[in-house]
Amino acid sequence: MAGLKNFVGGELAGYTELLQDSRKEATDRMVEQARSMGANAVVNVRFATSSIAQGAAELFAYGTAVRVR
Amino acid sequence: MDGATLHRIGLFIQYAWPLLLLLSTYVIGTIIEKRHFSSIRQREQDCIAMPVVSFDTMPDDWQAGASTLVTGSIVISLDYFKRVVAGLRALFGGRIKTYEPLLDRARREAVLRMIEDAQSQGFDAVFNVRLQTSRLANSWGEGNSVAGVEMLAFGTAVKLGSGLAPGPERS
Repeated sequence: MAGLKNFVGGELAGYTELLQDSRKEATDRMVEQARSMGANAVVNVRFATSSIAQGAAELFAYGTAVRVR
Repeated sequence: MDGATLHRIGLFIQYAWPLLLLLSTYVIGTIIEKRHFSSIRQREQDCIAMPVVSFDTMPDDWQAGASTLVTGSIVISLDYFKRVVAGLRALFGGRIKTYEPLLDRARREAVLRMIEDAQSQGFDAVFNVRLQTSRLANSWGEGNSVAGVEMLAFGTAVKLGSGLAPGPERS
């Protein structure tokens, strides 16, 4: 499907969904890490994406874990 | 089937097929792009009342009730015709016009999806909006070709407390 879409242009919905799910997973892991350190909020969150190989991408979420009083 | 017919079929596959591909991808690609732009314009009108800004602080008299991270993203690709045109353009250098509407619509769509994410959760405004672009490598190993471009918009959605509603009526 993405192959055909690559010819006519437009949104590659399969890829959009794939990356959204991966980013959600990365965010969840970040939150989990913050929680294990005893934080109750993560501020200044940033995302990064890198193409590491053919057909593979890394999605990365990072932020500052804080304890709000 | 005689030799002449086979020869004609061969000629067709060799010369007419690439032209047909260029023409059909141009037509379909243009239709998809036009539809996408009109949908973007319509939805932008619908959510024009919501403050979506890149400041990282709120005005002093606004009070935040709740806040969360909202994101919107899209992976988009150029049609074959435009890719060929862009490839030719890259030989001589200069402004690659065929890429500009692609990035424009991807960016606006990503921002719209972020806003819709915020609205669906009942938030009133989005602060500290950031945009990010990344290229996705192709999965079927065609050298350095790119499957698409991913555009990501994210920001901090805020619920305004104490009944403060931003808008033209507040001065």
